[in-house]
Amino acid sequence: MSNLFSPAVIAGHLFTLWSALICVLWGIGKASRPAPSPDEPEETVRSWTQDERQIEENL
Amino acid sequence: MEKITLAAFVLAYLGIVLFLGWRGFRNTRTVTDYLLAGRRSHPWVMALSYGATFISTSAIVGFGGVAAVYGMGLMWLTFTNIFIGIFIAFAFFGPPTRRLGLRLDAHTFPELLGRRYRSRAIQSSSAALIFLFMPLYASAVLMSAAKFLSEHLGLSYQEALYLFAGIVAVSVVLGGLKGVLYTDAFQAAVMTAGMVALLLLSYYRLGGLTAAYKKLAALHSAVPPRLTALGHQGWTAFPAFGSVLWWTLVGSIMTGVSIGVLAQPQLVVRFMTVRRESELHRAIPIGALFILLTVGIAYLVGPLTNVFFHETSDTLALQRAGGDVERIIPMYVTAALPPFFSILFLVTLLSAAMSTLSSQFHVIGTALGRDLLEEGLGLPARFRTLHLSRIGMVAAILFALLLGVEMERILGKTGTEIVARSTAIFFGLCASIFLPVYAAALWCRSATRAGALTAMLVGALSYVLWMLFMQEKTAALFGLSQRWFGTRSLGIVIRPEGESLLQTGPVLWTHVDASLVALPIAILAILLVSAFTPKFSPDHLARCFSPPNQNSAA
Repeated sequence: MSNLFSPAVIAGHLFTLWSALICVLWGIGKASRPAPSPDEPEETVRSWTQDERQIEENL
Repeated sequence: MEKITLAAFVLAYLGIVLFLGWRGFRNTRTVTDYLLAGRRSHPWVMALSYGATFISTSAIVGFGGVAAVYGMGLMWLTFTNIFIGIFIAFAFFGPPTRRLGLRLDAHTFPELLGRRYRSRAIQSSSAALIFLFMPLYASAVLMSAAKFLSEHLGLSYQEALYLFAGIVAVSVVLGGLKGVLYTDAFQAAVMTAGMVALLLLSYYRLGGLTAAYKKLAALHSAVPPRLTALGHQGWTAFPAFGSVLWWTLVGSIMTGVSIGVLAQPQLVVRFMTVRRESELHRAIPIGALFILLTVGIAYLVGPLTNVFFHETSDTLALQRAGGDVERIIPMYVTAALPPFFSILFLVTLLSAAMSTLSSQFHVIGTALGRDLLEEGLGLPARFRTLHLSRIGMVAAILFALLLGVEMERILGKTGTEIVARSTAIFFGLCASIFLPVYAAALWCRSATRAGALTAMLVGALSYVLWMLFMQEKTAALFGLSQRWFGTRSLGIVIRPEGESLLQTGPVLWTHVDASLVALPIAILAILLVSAFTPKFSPDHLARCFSPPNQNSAA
């Protein structure tokens, strides 16, 4: 069936499938191992921001 | 009987949407809940919401119709949608966006930029741009959905418009981003089911997969001479390299949509809704599969509509639709596929429209309530309530509704065209104005406030100038080039022997999208100006870029 399509159209389909595959593998790969970068403790950041705002208001 | 079934389906669908909006309302307690779904959304729900927001009715009906004209070369747009719109966006832009948003306690896209550059002007001007231009985009989606509803349910255009806007309004205003995410995820599931059914039924109707494409390839000889002269080489081939159609497809359609998506405020804000960075990566496969199964299928089915219309009425899809690209897919669904599918397809289109619209209303509302009123006017803490964001959202909905009513009443079909063109302009403006500043905010410590402001200004200016005087489609629409220079675009040279297009090598300048020109200029502007203007203090940069424990230790 490939002779029905021009090379550019075949390449478009292949790139589409390849990008979808990359996305699936990326997601599976990242989900199966713990993230190397530490996720930030949200409350710390939030309280830090609030503290800073309080200081600004006091000033 | 068919109408009763249809009405029952539509009402059941709208009932589910209202229920999910109410669930969002029940679970919304704080401003962060309302603006960022409490930063606790499930990665799959977020990915489906991102995809459903990204893919509007125009991606399915409009671009599906474009594929019916240009052929299967449009599949490259699916590739860029997945690779840039999902992979690059989630894997590279998402994590630093979430991190920066959390460190600066930003709740909206303008607030993220404003706090990163410590500039109220940047926050307010970004919010003003969103508040002024996005309602045009929203009203385009609203108008197309109202037209579908009025045609299929026997309502007047106005009744359909108010009904549709009312239901979206209830779920967004009450449920906030939680309501939007819940309803989007449901709508994404409906869209996926509808599009998969469309593909399978189309192959069945056209005699199977191989037979369908053999017939499509054989239609090569039926390409009208006018299209052949512009570079059309059949529906199973890409337009000839460097031809007018090639430039329209690559330089305009694919570039504008692909790059613009990275700086769409309603999409960027979703990166800030997940609990952990790793969840952004977990969301990638779901987002990619959703795009593949929605737009990928629309671009596969679009060209095949020519086979059906050629077999049944000896015409091509565009001729059959009277030259209206947006009518091709709905006409094909009605004529070629079983009646029950028309109902599913209508609900699919309603889902596409509603999911995009709810996110747009949310972003426009927060731009007004949070960025312009709360932060822009510097309201004291006692006025900073959830109600202000809700008031902003109601104003946004009324603005889009007013545009939807007035554009149709005053301008009719021309109004629809102007609104559709404004949508493309909004995408281009987002890419030209926001993308360099947003990318620099995430990765460039040396980017300065002056650099960011200059880039936004230069990006906007170069985009507008190119759009008004060089890009043929927009220049002809506004007419300034014709009035001042006697040619509908400065890229068209008028000689006594006829018109010719300004060309440098293979580049046909009049078909180059304005964002392709404005974006590099804006990038250059932020780099150059930032090199010569005062940098941010180490404290601010540490807060933006270093983990909090390191910063406090320092």
